[in-house]
Amino acid sequence: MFDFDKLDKVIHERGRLGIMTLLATRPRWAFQDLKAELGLSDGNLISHLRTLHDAGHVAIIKEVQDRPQTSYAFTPKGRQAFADYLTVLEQIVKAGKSAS
Amino acid sequence: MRERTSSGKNFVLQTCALPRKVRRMNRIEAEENLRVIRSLMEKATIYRAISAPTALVGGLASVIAGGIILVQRQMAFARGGAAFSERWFLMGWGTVLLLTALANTWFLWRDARRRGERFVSSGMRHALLAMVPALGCGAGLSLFFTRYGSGFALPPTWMLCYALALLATRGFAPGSIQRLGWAFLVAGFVALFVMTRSSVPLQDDAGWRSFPSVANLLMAATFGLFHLIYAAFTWPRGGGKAGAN
Repeated sequence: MFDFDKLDKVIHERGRLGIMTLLATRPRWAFQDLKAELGLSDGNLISHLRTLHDAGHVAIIKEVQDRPQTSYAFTPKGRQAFADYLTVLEQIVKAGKSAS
Repeated sequence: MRERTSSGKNFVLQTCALPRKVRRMNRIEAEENLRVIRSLMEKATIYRAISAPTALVGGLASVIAGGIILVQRQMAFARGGAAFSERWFLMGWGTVLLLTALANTWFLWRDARRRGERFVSSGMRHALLAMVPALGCGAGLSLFFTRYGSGFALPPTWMLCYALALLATRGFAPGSIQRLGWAFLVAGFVALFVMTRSSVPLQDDAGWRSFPSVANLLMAATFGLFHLIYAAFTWPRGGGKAGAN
């Protein structure tokens, strides 16, 4: 039987799961784009990003194009953690279906 | 005694059912999370082939071009010169198309750079593959109608082909692009009706006297106003990007 103890607790939170999902779709995401897509407040988004960064899942890219801009991208560890998280979710669903 | 037996039985049943209930809760939550992931991924991979700034450029260019062509025609008649030619009409609207295509390319390139993506992304490839057949038909039919003097059919043809091109991207385009496509489709048939009702032999001067007014009005009202409305509704707000609606 699978349970949620196997899930990465850092990712397993709605806001952080959203961030990780979006990071999986593009090489990098600007802060404003993440904010617009997820509908989170600045403070909330910064807090989640800091948690993910501290866990080594997210890299911060600071650059100046037309103006200073902060973008976020997966680290290899983050990409692997997200893939593992999806695998566990799929296993839970499969186990639940076979049991019912 | 019976009560005690019954409550004990219930306790045993509940105890047996507990792991199953937990498993079921896990499954439901896992399914919900997978649904959230899928929906976010779909939303993030939506490709907006026409950005709001492009629509603004295209809309303004269309309205201005419609005005210029009309003024040029009036001036030509006032001078007693040659009648308004099909060449002017095609050149004017060809310029609008070129200008808008260049603006769109630049805006898409800028957005791709901001997102750290390649300019020719998979979204753009999908959009081009979906739009090319309808746009190709539009180009081919334009050549055909121009060659055989059926210029009155050009505005409805452009509207209908453009509508089909937009609607062909519905699998990955935001709702606003689809609504724009439907608006052009309806407008295309209205234009077809209007142009055929007011159709006159365009080979002679009399024909061209009435043609550009109606055609320009239709072009400015659709390619001009429709795009301006689209730009107003999809313009990025609050420093974010254009929404997915």
